[in-house]
Amino acid sequence: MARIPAELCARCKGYKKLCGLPKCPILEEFRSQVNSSLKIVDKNAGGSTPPSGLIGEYGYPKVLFHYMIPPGLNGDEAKYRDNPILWSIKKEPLENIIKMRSELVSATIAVDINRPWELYQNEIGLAIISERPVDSEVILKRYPLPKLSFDGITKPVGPRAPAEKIIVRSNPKLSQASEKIIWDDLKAENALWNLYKEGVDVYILQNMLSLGFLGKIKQRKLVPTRWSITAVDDTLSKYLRKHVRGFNEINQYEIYEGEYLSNRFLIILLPGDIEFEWIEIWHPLSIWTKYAEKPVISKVEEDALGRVSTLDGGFSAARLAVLEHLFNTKRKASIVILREILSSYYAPVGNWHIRETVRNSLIKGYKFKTNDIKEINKYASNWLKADPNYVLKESYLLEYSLKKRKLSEFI
Amino acid sequence: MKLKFKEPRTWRYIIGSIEKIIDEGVFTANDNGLHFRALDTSRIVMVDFIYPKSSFDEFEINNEESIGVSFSVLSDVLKRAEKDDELELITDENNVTLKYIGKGERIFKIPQLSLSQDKLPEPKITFTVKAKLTNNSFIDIINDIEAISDSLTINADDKENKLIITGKGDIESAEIELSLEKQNIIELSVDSPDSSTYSIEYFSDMLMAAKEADLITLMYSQDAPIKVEMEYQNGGKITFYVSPRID
Repeated sequence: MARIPAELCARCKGYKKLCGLPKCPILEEFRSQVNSSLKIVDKNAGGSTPPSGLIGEYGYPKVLFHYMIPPGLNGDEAKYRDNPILWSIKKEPLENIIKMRSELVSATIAVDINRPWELYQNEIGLAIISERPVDSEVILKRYPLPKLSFDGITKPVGPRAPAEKIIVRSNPKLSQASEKIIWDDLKAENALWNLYKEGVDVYILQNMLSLGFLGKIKQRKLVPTRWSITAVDDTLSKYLRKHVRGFNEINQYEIYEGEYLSNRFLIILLPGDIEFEWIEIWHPLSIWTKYAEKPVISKVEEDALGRVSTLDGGFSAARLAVLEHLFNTKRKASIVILREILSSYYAPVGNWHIRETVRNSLIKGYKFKTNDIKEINKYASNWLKADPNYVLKESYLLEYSLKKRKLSEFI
Repeated sequence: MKLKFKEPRTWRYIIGSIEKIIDEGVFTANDNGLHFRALDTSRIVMVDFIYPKSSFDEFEINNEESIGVSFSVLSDVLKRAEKDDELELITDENNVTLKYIGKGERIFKIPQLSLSQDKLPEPKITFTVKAKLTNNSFIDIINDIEAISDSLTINADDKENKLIITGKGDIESAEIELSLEKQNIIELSVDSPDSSTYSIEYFSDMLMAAKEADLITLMYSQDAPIKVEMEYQNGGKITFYVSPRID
């Protein structure tokens, strides 16, 4: 059998189907391994949704809505089943995340994306955008299949079965701003930005957009969660960028670093306009590069006018985190992000960990600061586990910084 | 403020060049004329532009006035200039009105931007090499080098009194020799055999302005910025400073 090149898989991440096969063979193989270890759960379950919900994309525009609850768990315990921010702060290991997600039972309802109001009944939709866990009960039509599905953007989804009935027992709690905006006839992008400024969590915004709570009232639609995650990242980044563009440049080179789930990040800020370079280094034996012989590099660039070379959900998540940091510190910069994925990253659990790890690395403060670009290159070379000569030559921004001189040096 | 001048086409080319380097900026008008100086956002290029009072047919100002504009918007309007048109520029608090007077009158209005303006000094550089050439030889040199390379290197030879401009691509290279003997240069003085390298992209941005220029003067020294000065028939002058690349 012809082998699919690992470069293709690193770019595709099981989603773009670049190899032409109807299902990603890597994900299928991985699913079958994980699924054999899952327990069978009961047909009826009660518990609090953390909240956790999902709109699938298969069969679009007729898609599946998932309502997830951890049977028997309430309150904070339930909340922790879907809590990317806390997971990344506590550095919850990969196997625990997979385990927790596999314990969530998912009741599905078939919905038409053009009829979002069907989910408004019985407060099912509202429960998913609640700030706190909501007590609920699900009655399933049959025993759920012990199955866990993965992709690079959404969190893993546990055992599922069609719902006979979903009953929401307690009141969903929305922030004041959200409560108001869902009745407003406002374009979704404006609504997202307004809510974000009010401090509404990005993960709640993803669900609000996904479940059709935002947008011009007559044009509201359900949005597959995968798409809404990247849409929220991109929309907020667009607005942040407009503000950051007018700030002064940082005056020195800065380096930030972080690691979580065998993903290592090195964030280099360089004085200059907002331009991004996102370089992923997939070591052999990680999920997408099982058969690669040497590390595979995949790269995304975004120029000063915000034009990207290719769409990538991981990059979108990291970019949001960096722009947030620049917005808060009132500075602009050019940004190089190196993401090194070690072989121990064996399961894709969503792009939330990229957003959170980059955020946490930036909050921790810079690791290193200098006026000399050569020292930045040296630091990055030492930090990398892969061969630095092979990786760093990929970065135009670093290479160019070594060469250019500013006119202000001569004034 | 009310300014009137013939030949709006010269303006069209000058602003066409500035537009590629800087998005928005402030012109200052005072007794000396109309003036503009700014750095691009990456701070690699400085544009310095002066149009003396004497080049205008009419020049009415109150002390010192400034006009803030977006260059791409201004450029769009200037592109509408036709041969033999006269151009009148009138400003009020919010708008800049551009009036073409030729066959009838055409009026364009663009918004004034309120922009802060830093007083920039001129770069202090002692130039060791100075060359004067026609606009056509300048345009040819840039087009030749740009075809194969992203950088341009100038070497001066003080013994034979010539300039050698080179560009290197991945596999190809180009070399252009400029000397008084070969008659592709008008004036050349070399104090020391200096060499310096620049990104070609900024020179390509200058080509528009070069089209209408009379004479172009290049000045540089070892690993220092290059000064490209373009003079126009009616007395206007635009100068670009480009900082060097260190390879």
